[in-house]
Amino acid sequence: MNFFRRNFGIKIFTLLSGVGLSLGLVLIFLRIRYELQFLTLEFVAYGIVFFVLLAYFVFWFSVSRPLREIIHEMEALLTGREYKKFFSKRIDEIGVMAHFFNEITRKLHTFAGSVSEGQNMANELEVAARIQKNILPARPSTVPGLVVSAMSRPAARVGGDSFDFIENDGKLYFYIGDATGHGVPAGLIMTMVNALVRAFVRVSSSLVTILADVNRVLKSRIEKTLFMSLVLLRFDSSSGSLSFAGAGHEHILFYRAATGQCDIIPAGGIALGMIPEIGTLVKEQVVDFAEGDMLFLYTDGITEARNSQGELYGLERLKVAISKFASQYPPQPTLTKIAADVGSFVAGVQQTDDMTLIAVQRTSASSDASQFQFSTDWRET
Amino acid sequence: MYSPTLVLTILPFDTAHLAQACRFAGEFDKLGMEKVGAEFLDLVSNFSGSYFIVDLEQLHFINSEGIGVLIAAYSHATKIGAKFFLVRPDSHVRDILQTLGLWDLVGHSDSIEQCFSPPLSP
Repeated sequence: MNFFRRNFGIKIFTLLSGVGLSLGLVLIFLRIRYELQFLTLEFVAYGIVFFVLLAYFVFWFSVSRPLREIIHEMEALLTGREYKKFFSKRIDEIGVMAHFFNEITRKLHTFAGSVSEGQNMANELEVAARIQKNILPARPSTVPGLVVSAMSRPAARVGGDSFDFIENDGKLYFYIGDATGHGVPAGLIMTMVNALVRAFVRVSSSLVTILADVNRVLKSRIEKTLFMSLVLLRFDSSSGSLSFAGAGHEHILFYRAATGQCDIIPAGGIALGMIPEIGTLVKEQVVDFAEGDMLFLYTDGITEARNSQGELYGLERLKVAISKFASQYPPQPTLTKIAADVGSFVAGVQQTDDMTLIAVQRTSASSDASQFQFSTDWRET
Repeated sequence: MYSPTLVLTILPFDTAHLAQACRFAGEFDKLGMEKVGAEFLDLVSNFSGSYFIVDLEQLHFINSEGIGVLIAAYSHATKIGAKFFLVRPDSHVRDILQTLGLWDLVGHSDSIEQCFSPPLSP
């Protein structure tokens, strides 16, 4: 059966042409050799013409017409008109072309579907990124005695780093947090924690209670592999005292104006979402924060930024940069200089984690709101 | 260009102590998580012994995604009443475990064998 299906048109065409030509030659030979009068030249000529026409029709039906139909469908596909599949059981060149055409159109359909789905996802991610950006504060509450600056850069469209400044009852609560990984899952945790902290700050002034309550709600709603480190601080502008409670976050760094040194204070505690109850593991501590001092909060995207050799930027480099720049500049340019230092270290190597830096400087209590400098944009100048 | 790797070695189940031990070597970051995270979590979810031990001696870096799977292992072990141990983390990994508070939560020892020893009396 395959004999007929494979190269069918060409074979029949060749067969008929061959038979017609051979028969013609045999008849001419017979007429000459045996002088057969009934075999006139016209008879032979009609016979040859008949076989040639028969061969042509066979060729037209089996090769020319299906080829033209495929080309027509291809033209329709390429010019954006409606096209249809080409059904053929043949395994000759025509069958191969039909199969090729059908495969191409099938893949185009799949690809078009993926592009459309990808576009929808990209649009949704864009919306998520915009919502998240709106969650990050445009500017902090205006608490006298503080100059605040913050910079954040997500590694993906949606990031897992978070920070906020919440004023309540004459006190400024602020935090920095870092959810597991980055991208959409981290962004969802970050959004959840942001809402929870904002809500629980209104309920209690105890940093431990706030973190324990946030953890309790969070733990019951996230996967086992997810968590968020966070450090929550409270500044009382009337007394000038600064307290903090850590939930497994990076250290707090203090630039001391009096000595020019950078002190490290471990945040302590345990990350949110690891265990159901963290109240006994989290401690609230009071820390010195003298006029001129600058405190720095950061996420591990800074200290774990890598260069092309795989070296980490690390805590030591961050300390050196803080000591160098905080002695010369107010918070915002200090952060810009540190960001530039990190950028220079990684030298263009793509980073895989979100980066956030916050600087808060204690100034005289009479400072007015015009001294607040705030930007969530990441700049390296 | 620097390219971190992570290798997970699953040791044979210790039927004498009903212990499952495994060993991480390399750097446990997002790439590592994609490479062996599912295998490790599969091992964790199928575990039903008395000790789950993770040897970290050859692990030189871990990020939050790596910590996440250790927490999942710890959660599963405590849920079924098993003991969870981390063995010999290097200083960087230990710093991260301490910063996040996980170090105080889990058991740790200097060797796999030591995990089975009764704690010293005060």
